[in-house]
Amino acid sequence: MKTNRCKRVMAAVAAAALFFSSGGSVLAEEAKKSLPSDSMEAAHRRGLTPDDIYAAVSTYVPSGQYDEYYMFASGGQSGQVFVIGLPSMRLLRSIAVFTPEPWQGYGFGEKESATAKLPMSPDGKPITWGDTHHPALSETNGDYDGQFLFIGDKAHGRLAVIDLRDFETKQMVDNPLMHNNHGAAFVTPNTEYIVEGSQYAEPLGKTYAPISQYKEKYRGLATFWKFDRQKGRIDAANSFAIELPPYWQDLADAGKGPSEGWVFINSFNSEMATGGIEEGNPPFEAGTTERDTDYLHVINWKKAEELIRQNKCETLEGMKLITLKTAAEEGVLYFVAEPKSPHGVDVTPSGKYMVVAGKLDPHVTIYGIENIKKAILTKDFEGRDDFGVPILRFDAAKVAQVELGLGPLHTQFDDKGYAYTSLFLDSAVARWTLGDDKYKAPEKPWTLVGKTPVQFNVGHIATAEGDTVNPDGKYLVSLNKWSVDRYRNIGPLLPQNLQLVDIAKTGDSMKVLYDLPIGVGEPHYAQIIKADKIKSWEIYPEVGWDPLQQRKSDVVALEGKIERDGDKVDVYMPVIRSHFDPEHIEVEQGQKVTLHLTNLERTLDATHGFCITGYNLSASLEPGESVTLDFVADKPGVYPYYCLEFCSALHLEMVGYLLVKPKSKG
Amino acid sequence: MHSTNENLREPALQVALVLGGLALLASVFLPYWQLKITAPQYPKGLCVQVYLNHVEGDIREIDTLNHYIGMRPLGDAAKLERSLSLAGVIAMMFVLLSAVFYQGRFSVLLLLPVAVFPVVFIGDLYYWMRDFGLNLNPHAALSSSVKPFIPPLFGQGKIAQFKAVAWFGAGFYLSSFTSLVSAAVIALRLFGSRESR
Repeated sequence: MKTNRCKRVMAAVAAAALFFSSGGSVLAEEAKKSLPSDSMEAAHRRGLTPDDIYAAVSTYVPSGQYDEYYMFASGGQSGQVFVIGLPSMRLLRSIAVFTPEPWQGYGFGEKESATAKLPMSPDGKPITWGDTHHPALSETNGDYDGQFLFIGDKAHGRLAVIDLRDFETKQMVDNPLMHNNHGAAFVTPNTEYIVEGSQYAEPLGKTYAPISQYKEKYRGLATFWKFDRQKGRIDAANSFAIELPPYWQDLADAGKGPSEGWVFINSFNSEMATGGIEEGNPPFEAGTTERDTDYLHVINWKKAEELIRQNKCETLEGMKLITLKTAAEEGVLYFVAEPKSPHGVDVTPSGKYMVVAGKLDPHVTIYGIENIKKAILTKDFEGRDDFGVPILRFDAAKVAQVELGLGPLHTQFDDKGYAYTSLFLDSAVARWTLGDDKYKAPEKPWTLVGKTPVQFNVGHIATAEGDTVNPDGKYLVSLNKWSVDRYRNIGPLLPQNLQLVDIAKTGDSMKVLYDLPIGVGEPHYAQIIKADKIKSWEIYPEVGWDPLQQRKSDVVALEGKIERDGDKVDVYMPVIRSHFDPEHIEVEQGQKVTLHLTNLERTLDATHGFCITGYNLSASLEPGESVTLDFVADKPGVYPYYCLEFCSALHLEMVGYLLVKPKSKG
Repeated sequence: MHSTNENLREPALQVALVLGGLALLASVFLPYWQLKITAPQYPKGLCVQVYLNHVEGDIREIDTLNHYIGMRPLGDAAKLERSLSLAGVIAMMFVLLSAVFYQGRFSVLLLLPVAVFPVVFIGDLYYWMRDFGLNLNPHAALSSSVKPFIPPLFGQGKIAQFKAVAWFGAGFYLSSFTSLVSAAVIALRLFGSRESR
């Protein structure tokens, strides 16, 4: 038995060793024949199985070599985005988006970051966190172009734009009509619009209405944020929204190819349950799941755009709004039944099919765009809902149903004709075949091919470029909600578990290769892009760069100086290894101080940080960057300011003193 | 009796002088001397390219590093030489051209500065390297760990944690060609067996 296992180890090792083919060095040539004896010894010593060894050599990226893919994962309640390399699963950085983040100096000082114009909560305080859910890479012709990343904040109904030249947040927009979203962000095939779908119905315009008027006053919303690629900014003035019934819309996806011009959004409370467990009403979890079907929203956004041009819309809180009535009458909005309280709706690479995962139904239901268009054309309706929205006949729109298992949530695609669906309750990822799509799987269409257990409670999955017109296959990442026993205990708050799955071969062959614990937030969805598509800067293009505007700043501190004008003090402070200039800043108590910092460095990685002790200010100055920090010197005393990044051998000496003289009495 | 070879000599020299002049002109646009330093944290290395009238490369970073050892900014070196260099090249081209048309026996000595030019360049470069390397600010941060030194003029050396490699650039070799041409013209016109000029 033992010998047998040993043989299997050797065989697997020989196969796995093929992965060592790096640049024809002698060692790599040796490794092609068999693993070196010390590696075998290490594998035996550590009790690694053949699968373990295969996984190790499939994922290890040697020092100085690069990953093949970037994965952008949302950070959930951390309000950030994580950038992870594949296949190594190494965390490369986090991108501060909705949450102040001191390492990046994000959210400190008035001009430093997109949080500068943070939406205020009703009590007038800035909102200092977000719940990031669904990252969306910008697309050209339905393929990732590597220029921008968008992400929604479920908790505040916001959307942010990240520029992938420097991996930093440039803009956030606050939906004026709703406090929350979920179907955000999803982009149309040429990033004309970024779709933000709401989740929990509210009275539009952030107003009050009693819950007893739920059906009359509460609404859902699909917002189409216009994106100006040239400026790298959302153009709120040319954006619009569509009023939806209060059905609790869920995830969304934009059509492409034959389905271009359409957007699909799920819903899970077509019951219009209003809860009230404390009053003896059925709780939401029962009320919203009463019916066997909900409504897939089929939205013709090209038509909606036309209505906006014709001014067939209202304006609410500055947002152009197509009313539910207009949407139903003008052919902007259709429904199709979908089983049951579904979660994800995902468009296949060809754009021909929409896959709806049942969540509370063991099937995925596949709809065809041609079927839908035909049903619309022939008015093949089952009827209309309470709001007058036409409901397409289910059997007319449906192409197939595939039974996969319990709790299907999200679907992604590859280049071999397979679809992958996460099964939350089964804690597994299912691989199944698409029918007549862009790629053709060897097995027969619309059948389950295999399931691979993942650990545990998988939510979203992401395959390499798996929601584009050209998926790459190769890798799938399973974003698991529970890690249970996967890691050493770190107290009762457990990390999320992101697992890399090998999907390179056909058939029932998927294998988990690597576990990445995320102990700083809860990633929901992720997108994986081929690394060479992103052309990011190594240093900022010019000294004095303003990253928020992505151009040279109007104020560049090339020479140290202090300018005083009454109670206003402007400090121009160039920063270079290993000193700030000036090193003494003397002000009077109560004076308003503006620091204009410029990092003069032109060298890769020569980043300086800046903070003033006791003043809650932190900045990160990447090579060439200019940063402005404002504060009122309201506390008399002596405050060392220093460099936050260990920049050089004389980093500790990179320091200065802020001297705040007490206000003289009288 | 003149041999055919001797009949051809002057035209050949004239062609060589013209080529030498062009080479000298071209050398202005090419580096004369290059230095590359590498250290673990600078895997791509840092480079300096010394041209006749300016310095290029990772000057900003090298100056940043040099201030720790108390070396003056590279831009402070050979200011006078750099400012005169273009006028010098024009003067030398004038001499080369006049030597094409005027083949006087002793006036050929005007070519002497052209002939020795590359040597003068090296000498001057060495002077400045010595001056910069040996006159470090004693108050600099790393004055106790990096003692005064002379950077390598050619070949390998070591400066603090940096490995240094220095070599002459295309500009230098072009001017060396001009120098050899000038030397040959001087030698042949001065000592060549041509009585009946």
